[in-house]
Amino acid sequence: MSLPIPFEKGVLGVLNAEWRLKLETPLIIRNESKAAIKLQSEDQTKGRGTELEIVWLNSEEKLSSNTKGKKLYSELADFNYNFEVNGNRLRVEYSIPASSIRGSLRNSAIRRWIAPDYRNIFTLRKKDEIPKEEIEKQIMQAVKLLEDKKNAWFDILSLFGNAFDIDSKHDHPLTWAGRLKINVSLDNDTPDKEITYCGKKVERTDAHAPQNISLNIANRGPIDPVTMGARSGGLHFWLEMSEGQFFRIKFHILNPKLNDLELLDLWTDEINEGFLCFGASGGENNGRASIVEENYELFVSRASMLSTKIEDLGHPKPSRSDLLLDDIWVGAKLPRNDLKTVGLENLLILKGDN
Amino acid sequence: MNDNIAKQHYPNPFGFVPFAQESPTLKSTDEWLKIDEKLVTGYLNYQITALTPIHIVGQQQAEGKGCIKKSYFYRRNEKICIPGTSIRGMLRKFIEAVCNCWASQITPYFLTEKNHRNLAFMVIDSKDEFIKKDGKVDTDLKFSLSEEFYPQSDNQGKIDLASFLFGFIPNKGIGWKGRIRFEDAEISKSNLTDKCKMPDITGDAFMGRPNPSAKTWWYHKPFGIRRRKKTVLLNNTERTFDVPDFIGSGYRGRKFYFHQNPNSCVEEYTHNWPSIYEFDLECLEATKKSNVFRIYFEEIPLRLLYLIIWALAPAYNLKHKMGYGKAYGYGSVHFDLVGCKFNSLAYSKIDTLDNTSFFNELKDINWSNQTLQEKGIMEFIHYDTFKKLSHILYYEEPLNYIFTYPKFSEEGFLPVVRMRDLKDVLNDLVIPKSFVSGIMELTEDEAYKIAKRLSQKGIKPALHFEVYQNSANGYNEYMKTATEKVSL
Repeated sequence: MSLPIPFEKGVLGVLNAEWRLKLETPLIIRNESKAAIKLQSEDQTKGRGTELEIVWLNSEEKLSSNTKGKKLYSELADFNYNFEVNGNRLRVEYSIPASSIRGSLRNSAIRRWIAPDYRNIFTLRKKDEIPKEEIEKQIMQAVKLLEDKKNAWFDILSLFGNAFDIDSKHDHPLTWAGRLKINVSLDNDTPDKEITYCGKKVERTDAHAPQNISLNIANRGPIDPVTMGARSGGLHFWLEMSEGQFFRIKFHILNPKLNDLELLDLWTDEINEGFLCFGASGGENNGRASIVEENYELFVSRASMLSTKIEDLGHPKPSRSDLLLDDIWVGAKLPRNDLKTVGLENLLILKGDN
Repeated sequence: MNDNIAKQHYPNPFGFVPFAQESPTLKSTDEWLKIDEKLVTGYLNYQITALTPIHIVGQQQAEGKGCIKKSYFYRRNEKICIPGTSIRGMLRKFIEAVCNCWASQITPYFLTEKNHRNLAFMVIDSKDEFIKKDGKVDTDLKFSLSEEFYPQSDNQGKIDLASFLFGFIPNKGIGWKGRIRFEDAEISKSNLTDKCKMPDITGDAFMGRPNPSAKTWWYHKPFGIRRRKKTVLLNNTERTFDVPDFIGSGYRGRKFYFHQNPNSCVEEYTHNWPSIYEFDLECLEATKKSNVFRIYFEEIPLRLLYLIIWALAPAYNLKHKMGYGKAYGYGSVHFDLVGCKFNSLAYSKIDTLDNTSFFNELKDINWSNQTLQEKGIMEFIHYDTFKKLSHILYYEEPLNYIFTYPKFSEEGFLPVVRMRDLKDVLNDLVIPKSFVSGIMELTEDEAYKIAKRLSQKGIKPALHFEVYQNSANGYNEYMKTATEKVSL
């Protein structure tokens, strides 16, 4: 049996890809924490957005308070944020977690390349739920799929890594690191980071809240099919990153293969057509983006057969060319289409191998 | 008997589509996927035309304690749009009804309101939470919804058709992701109008909240009459006497609204109802269109794609309603298929259909029984339910019929009936029933007759939903026209 071992000959090449994406529809990445939102004054029984206020700090107090028998504040699910220590200052900023983007890309690859009957092969059910023989059968099926290198599971797991949770004493431990690392950053230089509710600007009064993106307050209220009134307890609010803002995805692919480029092509088309959305899409196509800029830099070890070809092609040098590393690596900046013809199939062939 | 009293109202603006006798069909995801050899992924391009003005509530300007001045069309950030959630909700509800599916988003119980005029009840078995919220379990009442229509996850992984398409999040455990996604339908500002009006009263909700009670035969089918002691203060003396409560059991069905002309309807309220004022509604003007928006579908059997296309425009004279003010004539819509694209990137086992020929075949398709059969979707349609729903969704211009809510009397929407009035009616109708342990069980026919006779006497005309509709101005004529004109 020969299972794919991504780094059998070490790292002979690196593909750095960077996409700049524009959000076409709002992005929703929920956070566990809740802010509090007020939509009207305590005296009003009607009107929406007549007196808007969002409270982040001590929001629990506001949420549990009653004024004149009326709950004035509702829960507002926050957008994802993280803390950053900068010197001796703690800063809180909204962010898009790389794990979320990575998950969306992986799912998209599986959806398009793996037939439904084979999608759950690498998802083991709880060991106490199925008999041991069934687990063993599933493991052997998984191993067989990986041996058959024509099967797309091989390409996907080679890139993303695999953590098939089986007994460590098992003959075929199916766990290895992937070749892909992803970084995501916001790319948002607009000076006015607004919060809006139904098109109305909400004043930012809470200095404790992160302020690095524009947000939209969204809400949903499921309707009871018999009464056609709001379902009791169903109304909920959340903050979403408004459309029109930008973010960057940086891919760092070790020992890139032609199949990786096919995946990049797939993702580009799927993103631009709206099939691949990020974040919590729900049923409304949230998190739709378009790729507005893409850059690719290929670094190849001078030990690889491919390095000579890269040098001969005369592509521009990568932006991060380093004199010291130039002795070890050959780098080129090239468009996605040219990557396909550069000869990646020769990357893992060492000079002198023949 | 005073026939005039019964003739003095218009039909109620909504009707109920009864839950089918048969249980919803449940299948595992794999079984749903296998109903067709072809699984398709792609998107449909649609455009919405407003047949009557459409309003989706956004920001609402109000003055004083509770007087709305203007309701603006919904905006997401700066974008004026009909949110994908509204389109999705409308379509899901239609499919749930005509395909005999679960009733998603059902409210599990209703508590007694502050005025104690209604009666708390459980829609489904939710005893623990009901009691926790101070609900008092009434052993005479049955659950309002049959168990088989309540979405549940413990069906060995089996779900109904709507949950397969739109997703299902159970109370506990892993959910099912939907396979259709709806983009917002953007609206150009130039297509909005400020000329629409909405009737309202200051302070309270105009028509009260849609909180059904088990003490009427409006939302519920009749079960019987229960004797209750009522104490009132008369000349500083407490007096106790018996009053009948009209106990219902089992929801009548899913609610849908009739189409009507909003101008005529609003005028009816503002001219003939007391204490009414009007506020401005910012609407997508009638005849104007939304921008093109997409409905994405992800690995669904081709037959279900046909079902979605059919469900959006089931017949030339059947139209959906969406948004705010449906009861007042707003929100009648038409969906135009204006394009489609299949995802050619799908893995090799999926055949990609030709975009152009698929679109040409379906853009103006006239759905007949034969085409429904040919496309393999007839088996998913519960024909009787669809027929009943079609009578409500029937749309043909000019919209001549007016539908209004029952008018408030001085005693409110549901005044108390005196026991002696009930006894008179029972004697008139020769219904020899009496109370056994405080309850008088009735057949549907008996209940109908009792409610009708009470209504004819001008007592509690809105007690029984069907009696109210059947005795309303123009209702029978409307139903006759709808039955004749909608060819299924």
